[in-house]
Amino acid sequence: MEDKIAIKVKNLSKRYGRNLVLENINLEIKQSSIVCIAGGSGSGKSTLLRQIIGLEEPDTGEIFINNEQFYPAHHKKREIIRRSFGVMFQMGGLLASMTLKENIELLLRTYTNLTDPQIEEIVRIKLSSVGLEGFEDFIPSEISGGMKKRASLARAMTIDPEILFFDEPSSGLDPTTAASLDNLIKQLNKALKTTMVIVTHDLASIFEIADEVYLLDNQSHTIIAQGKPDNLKNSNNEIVYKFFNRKF
Amino acid sequence: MKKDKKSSICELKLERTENSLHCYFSGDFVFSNSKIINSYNLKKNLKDINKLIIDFAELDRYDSFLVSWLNVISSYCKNKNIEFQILNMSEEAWTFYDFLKFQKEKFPKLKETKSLIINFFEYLGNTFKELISDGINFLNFFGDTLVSFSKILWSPGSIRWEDFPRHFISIGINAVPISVLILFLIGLITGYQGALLLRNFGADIYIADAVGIALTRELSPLMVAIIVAGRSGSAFTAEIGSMKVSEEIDALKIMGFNIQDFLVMPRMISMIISLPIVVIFADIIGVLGGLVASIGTLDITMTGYLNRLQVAVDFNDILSGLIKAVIFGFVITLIGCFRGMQVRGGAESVGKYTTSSVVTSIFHIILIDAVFTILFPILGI
Repeated sequence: MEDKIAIKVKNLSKRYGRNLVLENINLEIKQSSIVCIAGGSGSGKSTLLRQIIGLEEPDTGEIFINNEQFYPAHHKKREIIRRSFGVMFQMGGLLASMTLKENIELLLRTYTNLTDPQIEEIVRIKLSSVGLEGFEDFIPSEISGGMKKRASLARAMTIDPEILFFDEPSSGLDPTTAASLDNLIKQLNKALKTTMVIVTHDLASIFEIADEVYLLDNQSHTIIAQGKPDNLKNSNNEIVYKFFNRKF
Repeated sequence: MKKDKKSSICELKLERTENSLHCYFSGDFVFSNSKIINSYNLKKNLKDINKLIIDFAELDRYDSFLVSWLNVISSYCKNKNIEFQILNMSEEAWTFYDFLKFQKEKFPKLKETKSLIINFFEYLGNTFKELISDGINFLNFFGDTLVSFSKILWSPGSIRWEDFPRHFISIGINAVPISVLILFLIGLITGYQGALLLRNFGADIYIADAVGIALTRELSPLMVAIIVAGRSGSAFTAEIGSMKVSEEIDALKIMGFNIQDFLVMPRMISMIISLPIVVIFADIIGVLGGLVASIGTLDITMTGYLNRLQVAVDFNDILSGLIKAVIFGFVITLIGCFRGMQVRGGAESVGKYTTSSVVTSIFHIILIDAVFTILFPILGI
């Protein structure tokens, strides 16, 4: 059976003033897969993510989500499509004045008609799925960096998005916590069949979880390689080889 | 299938036998159908039955809502001693359900529920502990500030004078328009209210005494200090607090800079110099406000008002206002910077301490003003 495409990006380019950040980006991400967008610092990984999730608009190009045109499209349509996303931001993006429970409840109370016991149940399910049950009443400043990332993941998964985006999930985490987060991403992907798009330059994570990797180059600002991580490790392209083998 | 979210239809058919209730669900058990599913109000139909069977033979799509709904219903049945059974759920749906349910059961609740009384006493104890530790930290900060202040007298080059013009402009010059506008209105109000009273005694000319002394001794320094505490004291807290959040303060410490010399003293010196200057402007404009009210309501000429003002207001009146301004400036900076240094965590903490900085500053300004009001006559000022 042919794999269905969750995200398709066609000829996307982005400039900030005179500074070219992304040029002619083309990618296709299959449903229920784990895909990493990798690249060195300044290669435009996070910028590409911001275009795909609709926080910024590209200068040129098209974006399709589950075969529906996401860009260019009317902002109302973009808003509706965006509800099928969950995003785990690099710094967590948790609302500092709210408890973890309130951070998760916010979406449920806004977009669903659940009863209070059902909402409470969802909050517990989501927090426990990232190992944070019992921390419902903590505010973000009371928990560690790794816990904030996991809480952010719990919030991103609240209403079971079809696609989950991660911006540098392992940055600032110790290797054990980073590995446990990788494991969690794999488990969630397996159980919930959610498409996972991860922006990272953490090689350990890429080799552990990615089904496919897109490599952005910070010189040409475009994708220079695509494929399974193990294949890219033996690439003939010098830049790709150096990146995946940590050489300079 | 869980994916391919397109249709959104669902139905819950209920069949009641003697002691049991059979529910046949068909369609999508998803968040977007929560209103329809909850409208069946299953709990209402569970009266006088001892078995509930839910048949998912025609379940199409599902998400976490299914797990939460089943958990809530199964807990309810357990509490009411109703046997609960799920039939014909696909293996894929069971895997999904088990994954979330397993995760939920894997982590026990960490927080104990405490009684209200224990919570109340815990809150009281923590507040008291915080007050004591706040007090000790403030004394430390005050001591460090005094040391840095005295250092300037021996070695003026020890502070960052580069920051002085920026702070002087933002604290002093930028505060002049709003301060003089408010003091003009206060002069006008004082003059008008005084005029109504003094006219009854035929003591019209003494309006200049009332306005002049009230403004120079009390109202100008007090109002200007409150305005500056709201403008600049809060800005000090927010600036220093944000620097703490972004680890700039830690970086300065590591690089060997003295925080008092680097951050507090430039603000302190700018404040102590600029606040009395703003008070002088406020005195002049406030008195003019009183003049406008007097001319408008009493039979007094401008020359008469100004001549009387010269007699009524002496140098000590102005000096006492300026001494207060210097002390208020010191207190506003001290509290503003101290609260900034107390910031912990993120943006929310910056907001909390900025509010606290303004409230504490205004309270201390009024407290100190009350002390001076009693102290100055004793000192002959």
